[in-house]
Amino acid sequence: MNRIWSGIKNWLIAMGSPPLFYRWATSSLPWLAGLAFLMFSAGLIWGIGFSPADYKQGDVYRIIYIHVPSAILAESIYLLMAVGGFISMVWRAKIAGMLINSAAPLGAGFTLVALVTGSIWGKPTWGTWWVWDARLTSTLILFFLYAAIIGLHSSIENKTKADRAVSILAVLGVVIVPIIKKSVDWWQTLHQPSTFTLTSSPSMAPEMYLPLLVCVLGFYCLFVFMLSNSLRGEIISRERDKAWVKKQFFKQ
Amino acid sequence: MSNILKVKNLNCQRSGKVVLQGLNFEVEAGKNVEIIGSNGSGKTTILRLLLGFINDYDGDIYWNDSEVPSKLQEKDIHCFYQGHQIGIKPLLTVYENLKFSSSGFNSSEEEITSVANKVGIKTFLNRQSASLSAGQKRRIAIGRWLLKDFNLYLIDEPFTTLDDEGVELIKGVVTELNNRGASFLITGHRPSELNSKKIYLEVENER
Amino acid sequence: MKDRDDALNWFMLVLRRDLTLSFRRSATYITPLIFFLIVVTFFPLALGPSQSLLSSMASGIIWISALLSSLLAVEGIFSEDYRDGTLDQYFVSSEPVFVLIFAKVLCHWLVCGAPIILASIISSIFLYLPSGALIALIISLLLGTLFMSLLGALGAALSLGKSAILSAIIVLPFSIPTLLMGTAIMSAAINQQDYSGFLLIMGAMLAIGIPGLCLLTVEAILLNYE
Repeated sequence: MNRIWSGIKNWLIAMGSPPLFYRWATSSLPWLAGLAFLMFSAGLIWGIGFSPADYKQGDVYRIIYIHVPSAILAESIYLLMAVGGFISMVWRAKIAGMLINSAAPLGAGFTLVALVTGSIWGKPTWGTWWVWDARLTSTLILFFLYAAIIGLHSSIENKTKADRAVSILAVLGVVIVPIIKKSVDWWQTLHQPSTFTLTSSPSMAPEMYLPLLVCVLGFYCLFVFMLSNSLRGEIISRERDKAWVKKQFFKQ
Repeated sequence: MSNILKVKNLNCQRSGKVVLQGLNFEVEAGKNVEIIGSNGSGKTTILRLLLGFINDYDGDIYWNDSEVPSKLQEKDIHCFYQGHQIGIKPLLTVYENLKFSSSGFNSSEEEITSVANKVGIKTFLNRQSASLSAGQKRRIAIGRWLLKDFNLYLIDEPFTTLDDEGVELIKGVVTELNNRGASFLITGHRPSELNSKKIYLEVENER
Repeated sequence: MKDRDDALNWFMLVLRRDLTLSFRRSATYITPLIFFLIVVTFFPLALGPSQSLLSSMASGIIWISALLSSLLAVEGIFSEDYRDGTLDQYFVSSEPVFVLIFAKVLCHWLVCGAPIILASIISSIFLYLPSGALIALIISLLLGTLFMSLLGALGAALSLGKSAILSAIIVLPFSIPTLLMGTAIMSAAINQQDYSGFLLIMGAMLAIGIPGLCLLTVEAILLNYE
């Protein structure tokens, strides 16, 4: 058990070094791409194509296979950024800072997908393009948090300094986000005694939530692939003056 | 002679450019050191590094004759810093600029008035600092050196915008403070007439 | 020469200096008031002067205007000290800098909070705020504007030297809990319910926020020095 733990720790520390991460990413990228494509398409095809129709909402609910994974990913990515920010602040690991910069647009993208699919789901179900339910409202606020991180990072010329600035924001965010969610939930109940949510179906038949699970995993794989790819590019661009980068590119 | 500060083999890079390389010097108690160089030679970097604003460097800094390198904050040294910008608030009067400073806050009115007299701004004591010339504002800054006892003064380019009279004033103040056991580490573009050890920085590397 | 070089001494130094400076420049405390009133005025202009409509929206409008005024007022809290070298002295002081940052924020809140409270009282008349809610308004705004000043200071430190609108998008999402708490207090007061629970929550947010946000603000300022 100890060996596994120290093995993981050593791998994490190794990943903190830009050249090592770059090499790992370059070699893993084809595998990650393949895995992502596999899981993603399997989940989606199974869910959208083959799972049974919902007796209440008919076929429109199938958008859940995109909406729910996107929403889950939107929140997980923020958590990841907060962890990265914390590592960057405490241990000054450069990769952790770059991670936030690469992950933020992806997180914002998933949040946007969640919002749009939520909106599309709402139209036939509730008759309007938007509804201020707790879930959608929190997701919208999450989108603003992502926008703040992206905006702040792009406004600071010195990118190392920019990384550290957004680390602070990400760490603060992760503390406030649960508070925001709790208060939005409670705000909902205050203004609408009959809580309705667009997204939760308390009991889903296995034929429905199994493909959902696969979709969620597929989205995660897709994210890991896109993140590794993006980080790879970011590393090269930041470290372009370093010796190892020059060696890498003149070797090829 | 005891060293209040000793710097060994200091290397520092800023934004990928080498700013300091292999820098060595000592500041003895009661004596002064002057670091002279053109713009970009690293003078300000040295001061900010000593103060702890910059942590990304190689080399050792020894405070107060200690055997072990340490940071300024860990040692019981009263250090006064004056940067490029001297922090004189235009909306405050001269008296307030002296009073609301790190050295003047606990001083009495008589002490502040006598210091103002010494540096030649007593007549402006209740005037808003905005109406003073650059040289007169510098005198307020010099007044701050006198309001409290410090062991070490880190002053970045103290002679800027001063006329001959102002330069004489600084010489007098520094000598008086030296006699009280304080040391000065100052920077500048040209060597001054102060009684100090001069260290020259070149832009590419230094000795 | 005395040598009381402790944190409390430095705290008083920063506080007194900033208070003196703030009162010398009347723009510091007049502009938040005027901005607040202008924003409030826009609502009846845009929505029509119907008393029942405005009355039902009054607490929300006043709270939003208070948040925005508070945010814009605190935006420049560090810029002068950063430019003229005074901020450096905080770090050289060998006292915990977050205490000094809190001194600056406290001074700002004392100077700008009062005009905002005054503006909100005037606005309660403009917007026909239901009676009985005025006390709740003042208390909740007192706590809320302090929290906004803390958040706004962090935003100002992160975007030091950059535009105010960037600072706004950073800070505003984090002020949502304050907004929700504040308006909840108002609704409770209007319906004559007890709102002390909400006050406790806001108090708890402040108790954590004061040290936490000031510490993060110090980190953010230090970024500009590296």
